[in-house]
Amino acid sequence: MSTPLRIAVSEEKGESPVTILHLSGDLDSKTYSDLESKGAEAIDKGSRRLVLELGGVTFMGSAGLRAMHGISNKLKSAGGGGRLKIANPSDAVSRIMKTLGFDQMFEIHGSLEDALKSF
Amino acid sequence: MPERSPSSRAARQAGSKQAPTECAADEVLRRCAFFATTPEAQLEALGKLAELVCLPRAATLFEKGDVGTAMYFVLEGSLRVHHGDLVIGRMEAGDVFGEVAALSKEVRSASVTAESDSRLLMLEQTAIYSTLAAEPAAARSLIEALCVREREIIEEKVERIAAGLALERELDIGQRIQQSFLPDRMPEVDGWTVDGLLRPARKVAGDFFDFFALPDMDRLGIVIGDVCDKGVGAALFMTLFRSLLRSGALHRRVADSGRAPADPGAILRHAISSTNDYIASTHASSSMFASVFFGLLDPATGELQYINAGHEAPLIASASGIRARLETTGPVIGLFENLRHRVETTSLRPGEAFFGYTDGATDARDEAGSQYSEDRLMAGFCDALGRDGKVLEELLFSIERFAGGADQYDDVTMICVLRHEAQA
Repeated sequence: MSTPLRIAVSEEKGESPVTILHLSGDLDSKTYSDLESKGAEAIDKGSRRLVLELGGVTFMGSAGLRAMHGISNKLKSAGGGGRLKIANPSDAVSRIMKTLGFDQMFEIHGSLEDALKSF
Repeated sequence: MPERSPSSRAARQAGSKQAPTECAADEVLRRCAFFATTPEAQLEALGKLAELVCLPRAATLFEKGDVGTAMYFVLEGSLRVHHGDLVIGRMEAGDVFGEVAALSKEVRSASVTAESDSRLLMLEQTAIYSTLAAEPAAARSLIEALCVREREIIEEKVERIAAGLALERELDIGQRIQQSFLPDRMPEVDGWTVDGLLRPARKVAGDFFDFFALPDMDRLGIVIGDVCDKGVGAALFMTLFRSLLRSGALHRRVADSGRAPADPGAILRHAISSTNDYIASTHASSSMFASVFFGLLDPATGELQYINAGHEAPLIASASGIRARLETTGPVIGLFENLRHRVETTSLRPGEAFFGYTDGATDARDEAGSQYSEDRLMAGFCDALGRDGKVLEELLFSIERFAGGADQYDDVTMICVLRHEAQA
């Protein structure tokens, strides 16, 4: 049985504000469009620095990569040098990211703190 | 005419009652085909029994499966008829609904929710039946109106079946065209047996495989790939990936002609990077990608150069077990330009086989939901190699036997390139 995807949004204030999407549950072909919509919503509201915090993701299929590409694409077309980073993947999710070659496509950080510091 | 909320659910969502609005209920009923043969006196009596229902936007009147005893006439507003998120129809001023549950013991066949503030006239089963008891002639128009509804439903069903068949024919054509993107016969290479199969989960598939010769350099191109997602979208991209990869490899040969020696690594890198960059730049908004294994085999020596772009690691195995897994050497292709892919070199010894597959093979599920698994696939492959039969057909049979009656969830694709034992 799959676990529904939940996405909580928080803001890291400061000189360079960052929007963090905290994901939990399964990121698969049924739920990836929810992530894409949440990302698009944040970009439409003006966010240009985004972190996907994957700590609670129990399963990620290849559809997860489609959602991340969609957000990254939207950031690019929104202009303003937007950046998307990934933080805190579990070991299982890291293995999938390694197979799909995420390291060449996204900046991945072991913790949310590291991801925030890197902006 | 009294006013009330129609059900406890609607009442909860409706909030406070609105002031009754003037509405000549018998006029509304008179315009309705259901009551065309109801005499004036009974119509007026029915009008007095009708109640006005005010439903605010987003309030649900009733849900599929609810017991219902009333029919409704829309006076104002708009309501959607739906099963969960699936919208079946919309009701607006002048429309009548809910008559099946009102005239029988059937439960509601769909849910109805207001899309804007709406006013309805509600007529209870008891009122309708008391009118029919007093004036049997009134039944005629009710029966006629129900027959008209029935005919409309049948006509709609016929249209849907026809549209479904037309779509099915289109998909059949798509399936035949897509088949032409797969090798129609396996290449014959001295000292080797080359085989591949693809079983789509639906009419068309996102998986692909390809074998083609690069004749002037005596190499055999070996490709297996899996486009993300399923169905028609994946199938369209499958044709694009497969064609660009083959074209990239062959055109590089043309560009290289005259130069010696031919470099399989350069051909692989060119085919993968030109395919990736084209799709990533031209089709960025689709976010479609593919995992691809692309190898160039020298049949004379068994040497195999390859790029594995995010694909399940193919194996080199013999009947006695697995010797090597050809792990990924770079990312999946189609999303971001300018990716880097390493070219690796391995070789197949006499008696060994290269085995590539897509995740539809390992992820096939039985009726209890258990996966066929990589372990079963590997063991099955080595076993089948030990016999002299058709290795891939035996494996597919084993997967299908495991799945039993469960629906095939994903495309299953497997390729096998076997080097014969050296002749004594």
